[in-house]
Amino acid sequence: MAEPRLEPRFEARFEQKPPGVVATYMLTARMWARSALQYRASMVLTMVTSGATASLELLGILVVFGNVSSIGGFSLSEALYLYGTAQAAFFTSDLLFTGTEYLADRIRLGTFDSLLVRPVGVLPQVFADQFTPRRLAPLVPAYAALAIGVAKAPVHWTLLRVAMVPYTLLIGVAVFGAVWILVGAFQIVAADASEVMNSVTYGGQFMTSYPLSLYGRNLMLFLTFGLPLAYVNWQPTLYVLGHADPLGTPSFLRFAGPLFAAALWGLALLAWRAALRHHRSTGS
Amino acid sequence: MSRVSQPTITSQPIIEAENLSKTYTLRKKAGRLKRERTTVEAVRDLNLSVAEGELLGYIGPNGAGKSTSIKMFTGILSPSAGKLHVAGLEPIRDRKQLARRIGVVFGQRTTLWWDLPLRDSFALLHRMYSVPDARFAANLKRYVDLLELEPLLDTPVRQLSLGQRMRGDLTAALLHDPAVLYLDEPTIGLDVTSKAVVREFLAELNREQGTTIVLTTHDLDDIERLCRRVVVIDHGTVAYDGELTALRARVAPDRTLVVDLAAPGPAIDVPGAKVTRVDGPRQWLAFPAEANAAALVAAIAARYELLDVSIRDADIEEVIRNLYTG
Repeated sequence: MAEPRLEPRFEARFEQKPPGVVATYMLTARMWARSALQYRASMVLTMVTSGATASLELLGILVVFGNVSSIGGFSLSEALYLYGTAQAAFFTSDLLFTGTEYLADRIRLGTFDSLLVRPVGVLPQVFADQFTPRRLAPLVPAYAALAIGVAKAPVHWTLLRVAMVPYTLLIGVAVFGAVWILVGAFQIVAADASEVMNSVTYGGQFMTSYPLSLYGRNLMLFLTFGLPLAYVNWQPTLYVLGHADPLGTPSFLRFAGPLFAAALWGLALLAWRAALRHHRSTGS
Repeated sequence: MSRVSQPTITSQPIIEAENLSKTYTLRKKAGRLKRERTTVEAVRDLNLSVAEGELLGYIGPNGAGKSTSIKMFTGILSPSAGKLHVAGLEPIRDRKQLARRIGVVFGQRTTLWWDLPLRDSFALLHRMYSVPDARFAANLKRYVDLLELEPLLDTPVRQLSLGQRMRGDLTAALLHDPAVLYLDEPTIGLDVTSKAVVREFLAELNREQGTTIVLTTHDLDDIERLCRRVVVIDHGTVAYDGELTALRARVAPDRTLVVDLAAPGPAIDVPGAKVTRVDGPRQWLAFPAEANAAALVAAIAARYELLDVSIRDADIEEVIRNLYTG
């Protein structure tokens, strides 16, 4: 061997820093977005339909409140606020993290391997997988409902209450994001269970959109403590709207969202690592 | 042999596997609730040492453990047992570092962005591998020239032919100057011209830049044209490791003597050879590889009128077939 090379490869003096999590995500998402923009007509069409579907749900709420003045102690504007925060949080997380949904397909097609041979994190590549601006459409009715709720709800706006609105959204996006990671971990292990997990995420979205007291005490306990989805908007909203918790949980829990979100992220990341390890040992 | 884990360029092997094994556990239904566990040894006690700058043919029948072992070499799968170092790194532990030092081309699965121009995929890799700008530009120009990609750079990948796409994938795998290039079936489905371009390119890359190439293929022409060293994997372990010519000698299949007689006739009857085919005046005789071909031709010429003779070595396909069945 040991022939002299005409031109040495450069890796020996490789000093460049590789892209971090956010840079990897942005790079990958940009490529997918540009891919999606190659099919403009189809994108506009699906944006219109998914925006319309999300708006129909909003219309449903208006119809219900046309007949009754309050549900579970919530007025129309309060319900819109509740609905708006949940929808906005969910569809924002959907926009950002829903790439984990395509993992089962990737594993089935064998293209997951090509993410593993890149010098960047796997999770940000997976988050950004199939990113498309199409997912912006359902954000329109969601933020519209939230805006109406904020404008019309009988709230005495203090500085803290104002701050609670973006806080609610942030916690919501974080909690749903963690759920998307769990979806990905689950998909790796059970490569074709995409449909099963859909019932967890989209089902959860549906539940947080309606006043929790409608679902009965046991279910409420489950949602508050079993699944921290309640922190997406229920506890913070109780504070903003000045309602007492029908469950009688201590009021400090209304600010415990970050702890729950952090714990859930910790759990999700552990599950993700375990799933990757599982994939590496089975290669299925 | 203990190894340091620093990516240094030394005279040590660039790929070193010691008793590398991979066991899969399968759960099968056995009755209503019972699950039976069976273990499958996809790779067992594989020993392989590849020096920097080698161009290695890595072949074997389907399911022999080729792709499982390559997946371990590239940091996709974790070994069940044994030691493995690639470029001085432990593939799973040092996945990201390793990724910058290897290039991978999966023949049938493109890693290029399907709907975007070829150029865009290259630009992404530029950033992902943090290749210095000047180096990236120089590499891109070089590979685009060698692989004749210039007129295709602005074409969406979905519109490229298989051969064009393969050349794009090759470029994509090399823009960061990997020390080791793994190729899985790089010529599958390509037309003759594309095959020739790809082969010539690989030979040049190996010769000029000293890039270590591990070539997995079913196209034994690739092996014959490119590789001096061949590793045959069978039943999860190395069945043969050595020079191609020695492999041919070791398995020693018969050689073939083709004779053209002056007139059609019955099968030639001559000691030390057996007629395998008759087509008019042309006859094919098989004789042992180590036998004296000149003596055989003389023996036939003594009894028949010969117009022409030719001798063929067993082709690699036959050699491999004999090795698997033997």
